[in-house]
Amino acid sequence: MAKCILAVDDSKTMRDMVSFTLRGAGYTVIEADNGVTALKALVGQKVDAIITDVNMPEMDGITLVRKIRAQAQFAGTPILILTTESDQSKKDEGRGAGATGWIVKPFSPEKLLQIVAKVCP
Amino acid sequence: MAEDQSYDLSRFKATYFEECAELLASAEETIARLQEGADSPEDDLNALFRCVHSIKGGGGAFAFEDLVHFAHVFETSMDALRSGRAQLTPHVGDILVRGNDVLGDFVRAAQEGATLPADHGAEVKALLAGIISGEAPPAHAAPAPTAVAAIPPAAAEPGTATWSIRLTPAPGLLRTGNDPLLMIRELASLGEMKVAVDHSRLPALAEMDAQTAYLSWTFTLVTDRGRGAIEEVFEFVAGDSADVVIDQIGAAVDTAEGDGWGLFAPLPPAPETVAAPPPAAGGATAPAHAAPAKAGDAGAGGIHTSSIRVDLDRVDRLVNMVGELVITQAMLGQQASGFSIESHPELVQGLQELSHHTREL
Repeated sequence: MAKCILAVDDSKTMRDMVSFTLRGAGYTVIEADNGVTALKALVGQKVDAIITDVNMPEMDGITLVRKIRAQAQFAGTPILILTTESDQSKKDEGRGAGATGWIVKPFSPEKLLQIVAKVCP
Repeated sequence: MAEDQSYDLSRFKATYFEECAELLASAEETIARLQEGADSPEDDLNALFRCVHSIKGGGGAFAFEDLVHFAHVFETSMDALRSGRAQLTPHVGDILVRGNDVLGDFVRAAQEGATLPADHGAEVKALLAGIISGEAPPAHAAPAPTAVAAIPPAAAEPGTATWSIRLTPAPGLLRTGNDPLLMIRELASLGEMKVAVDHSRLPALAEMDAQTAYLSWTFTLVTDRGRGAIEEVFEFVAGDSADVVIDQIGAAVDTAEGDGWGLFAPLPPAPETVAAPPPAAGGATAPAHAAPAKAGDAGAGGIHTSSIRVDLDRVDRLVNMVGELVITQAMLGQQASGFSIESHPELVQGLQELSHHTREL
């Protein structure tokens, strides 16, 4: 059964790219455009990993990570935050919130698949 | 995401440019609201930041380097406004309008495959750099183009390392005769440093006590000196008087495993630990999320020391207890809100520390 990834980004371009890459590699992808819609998408849904942007309207990615980690059923679900090279403070916040790892934007499809395979073997 | 031989992402350019048009229009409206005196300027600045950030993010994916560089300066200027390092004056509002116009120029050039002059937008870029440095020049002043060069993060020289240092003074730090400013100056003398200040603990002016430390800082330091030199700066305050967290960026604490991505902690060993958990009944277990590594823990152990399996019931109880603690802390804070620090210094300080620790928790 295909692994399911939740991709959260307010940019449709980035969501499309992430989904295209992951689906091309055989993953099932659920999309959400901010933290609020991501939490709704997770209700009753099993996911194998979550990839989230940080800067989003309604609910940012760091808050989303905290809220997901507060739910026992997602205690072990890998969560990757998308950040920028200069955003060390966001990496720190992400780690503090309970994220599993980070990916620097922009990233190549190969790198995306590399880290997703790493956390979601 | 960058262009790749295996995955042709150019098909998404049309989506990107459609999104850019919407984002630029949204940014224009947001700037207009800010200029008119928005009810919630913080929200508008955040929204404006997101617009520019999204344009930059997509631009990076398609390697529109000039666009990305300008957008980086633009969004960094908004960071200065959001953090309070710069003030949103009418003149700064005008600079933001011009910034959005120039960003639009770069987007259109990218869409049409055109090449803009090398100095296109240089004047506006310099004005934005003025906002970043907190020295936005008055409307009549000539811009200083050289200021722009300082914005992109400098690549580290061989032999140097980049460190992230977070300093959170205890409220009573100043009463111990320690001055954060002296520490910051000493830290800056070790290399090239950037500072981000967190003023979220700062109370209203009327409630402010000059002897209480409210600010905390995150420093990014590029230096050829080792951890020992950094620890020496804080040797008199670390522990009781201040919380000091020193992380080497890209070092083992991040367990970085690739170029452009990394993991914060080693992964659990068994594949089943990342699968959907079983039903909670009957003492089923689920993998506990590995606790964030602390400074000094780096390299201390492998998988066995960073990941444990915990009964789901225990995790639920822990989460519930933390929730109760937060509620109790909030109630105590509310009940003691009428007390001044002059009349009840130990109580107020204790509650502030409780609030701080609860937030950390």
